[in-house]
Amino acid sequence: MDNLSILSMLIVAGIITFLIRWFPFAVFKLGSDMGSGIRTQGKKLPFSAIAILVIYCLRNINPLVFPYGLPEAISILAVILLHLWKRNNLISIGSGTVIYMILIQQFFP
Amino acid sequence: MTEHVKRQSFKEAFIDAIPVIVGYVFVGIAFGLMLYENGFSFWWAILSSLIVYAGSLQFVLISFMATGASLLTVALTTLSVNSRHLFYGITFLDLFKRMGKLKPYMIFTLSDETYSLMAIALKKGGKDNSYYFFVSIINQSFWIIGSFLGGVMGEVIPFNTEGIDFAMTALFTVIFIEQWLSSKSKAPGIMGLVLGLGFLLIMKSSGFIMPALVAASILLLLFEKKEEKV
Repeated sequence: MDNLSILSMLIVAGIITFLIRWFPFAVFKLGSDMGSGIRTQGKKLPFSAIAILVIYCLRNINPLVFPYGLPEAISILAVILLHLWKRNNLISIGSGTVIYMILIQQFFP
Repeated sequence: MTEHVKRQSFKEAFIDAIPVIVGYVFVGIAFGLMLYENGFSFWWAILSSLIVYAGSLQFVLISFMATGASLLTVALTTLSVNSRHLFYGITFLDLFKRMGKLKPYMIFTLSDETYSLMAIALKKGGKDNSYYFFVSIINQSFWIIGSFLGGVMGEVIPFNTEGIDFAMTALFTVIFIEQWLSSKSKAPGIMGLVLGLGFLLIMKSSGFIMPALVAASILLLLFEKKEEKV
């Protein structure tokens, strides 16, 4: 990838992110109402999208070959338990990442 | 008088933002390190945090930046990852209008964390307009600082960063748990997991995200129609 292509990716992502955040200001100025379909998508699609992104992060696991996705499974379990316990993003993400790094560097190299 | 009000606002904004600042610096470092791992200097980390400023999307963009993707893929992925931001602005229609020239920047920086801090403050009331601007700019500044530190750490400190990219998996897992706990219907989440896994197994490539998202979106609309009829 050349620098210009990468820069255009960032600009496209930036502009669309801005437009998404600007959406209510545009709509309510026109005085029109939003369709219930869009409202539902805005509320529920993120939940599905995040689930798909979790799968995306784990796409390179091969359950048939050592270490069988064990480091990922253990670390995700740690993140879930820590988060249910402390409900603190920093603790959950930080500890989960450190556990994963130790696991793949020391125990499943 | 106004100088005094502004200084007071900045102080309050900074104190309220401390939990976000800590989180942003930490996750920002992971982001910068991950970009470095993929062969990008800290300048790209700063640029991404300056132009895009949407944490989880920026993580997804790293793999696009490294391996390439069409601008259409970038656009559609941005739409789906950030669609949760579509309605954040509703809370601040009047406030941002009153802020005049600062309005575009306030909209641009409306991240999950900034939204939460400002929504809490607005509910309590009694803050000067400058307070909201300071919350926004403090948050983005520390996100940029974190990204920069991560990028620089990759270049300066030669320690084994293998596995640092799990921060992204952990971030999404945490968001998923939060969605799970706060949603009455767990169906969209379960559907996402099943569709994601299904399309991954069929396509066996990272291109499975878009079809899985389109399928999820269609199914959500169909369910919505059904509920309306009943």
